[in-house]
Amino acid sequence: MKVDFFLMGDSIIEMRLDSSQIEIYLQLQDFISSQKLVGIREFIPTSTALAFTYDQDEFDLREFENILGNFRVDENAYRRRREILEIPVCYDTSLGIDLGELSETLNLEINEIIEFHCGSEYQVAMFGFVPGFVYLNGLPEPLRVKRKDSPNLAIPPGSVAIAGDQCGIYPAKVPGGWHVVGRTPLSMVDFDREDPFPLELGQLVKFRPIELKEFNAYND
Amino acid sequence: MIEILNTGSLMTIQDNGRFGYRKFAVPESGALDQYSARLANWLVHKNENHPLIETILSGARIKFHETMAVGVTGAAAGCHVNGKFVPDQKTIYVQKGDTLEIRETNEGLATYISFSGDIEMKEILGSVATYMNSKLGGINGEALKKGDQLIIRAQDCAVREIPRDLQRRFTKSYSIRLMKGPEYDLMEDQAKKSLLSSPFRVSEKSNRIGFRLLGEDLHASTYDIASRPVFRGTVQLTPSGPILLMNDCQTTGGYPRIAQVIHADLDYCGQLAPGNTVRFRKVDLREARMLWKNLQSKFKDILD
Repeated sequence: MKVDFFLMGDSIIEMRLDSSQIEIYLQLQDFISSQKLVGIREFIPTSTALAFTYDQDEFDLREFENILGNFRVDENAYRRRREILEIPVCYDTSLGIDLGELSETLNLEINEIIEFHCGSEYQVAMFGFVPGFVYLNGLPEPLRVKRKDSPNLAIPPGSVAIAGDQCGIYPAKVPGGWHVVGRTPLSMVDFDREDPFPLELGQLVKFRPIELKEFNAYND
Repeated sequence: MIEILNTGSLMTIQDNGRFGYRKFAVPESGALDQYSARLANWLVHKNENHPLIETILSGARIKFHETMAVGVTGAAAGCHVNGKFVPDQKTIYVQKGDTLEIRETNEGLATYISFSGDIEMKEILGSVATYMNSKLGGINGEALKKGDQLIIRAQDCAVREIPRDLQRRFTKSYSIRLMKGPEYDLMEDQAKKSLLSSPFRVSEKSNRIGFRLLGEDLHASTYDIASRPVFRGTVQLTPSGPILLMNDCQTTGGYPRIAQVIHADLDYCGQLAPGNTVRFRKVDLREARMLWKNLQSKFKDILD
């Protein structure tokens, strides 16, 4: 697969492939890392581009260009299924605050929304918006919905929400325009932990419905 | 120990920022003008990444409860100690009980105050830089406020003076050099021309996330693109005009990235005050690299 690259100023390079699979961009990142190019500081993968920052005193642009042609997508690595992380979610309407409204918009019973939502497998496609906010691909067709016209001013941390063809999990109390279907008792970011983020790019995720009682008992 | 008597517009603890966590959507934060921050630290014999205070515009007042040396650089052309004017560009010695004040800034936005000691502060993800939106760094992730106290273990240090060649003075109008962004070609021809020929004014609605630029209308053929990485110095074109992204910007953005400021000019961007004028000039990679190299060697020759 041909890799196009763009010089974004004098210390960032962005690469694109004819793909919107995070897996492919992670493979490209692994490939470039394995080439031992000096001066690369930080990779930023998304599902439509891979960027990295570099130290221009050390980085050799020509060497980078030369190795780029050697990149091959490894279909086997791509198909190899990774461990699926199960995320508990309570879909009680006191936490899934937009379920009632969604039920009307989508013309589905609340039960059906929950079934669709936890019946699907998702993949972490990108982090963005605020530290630890994950964009998950894999939202089932019947749940696809435009984001809200006016955002909620404070969505509680752990809220699991949907918009467009994606599902997201709010790590902190922030304003947001996605429709909240439930809440997870897991913390999506904890800066006191050595490893502050429980999810990583490319990770496969499923949601497991839990009762309000289990939700409340979870962090006791 | 030092005590904050007054903060001015915004006073925060910063260093060079947080690196390695952009993929988790953690912004880099850090000093808006790292050139000036580096010089402030040099005045008190500290390395360039050492935690210091960044204060925006004027009005900062700090009381010293112990004797130490400080460096003041950036927007303020000097400061007042116990009401008496002290010029900048040189290590300043303050005594126990002294009050240091940033009374006015003629030009520029950010002033840096460094100390000849270590500020007692917890690093989060390798940095103490304050990022208020996620409550990272600083004191509980907040901007400094009146009454805050910082524990500093002061050390002696010899006087230093910033060589004339490295001294920067700021103005009200800037020429900033940039390279095309990945979505440069989404701009209409007229917009491309205007970006490089007409002046833009920095809006009052600016903060550490980004500076809104007011000027001729720039239009893109579409604003609806996939979210891709953005950085300090990325110029995004939104339907309500261009935004120059700064240190606290998100790590990805869904508006056309029409330009990227070159590395050598990033720190000038950090001194753009509301109302200042900026003109953009497009350069190629060769020129951008040369400018950066010259800047680095100037530092190396004089400071090392």
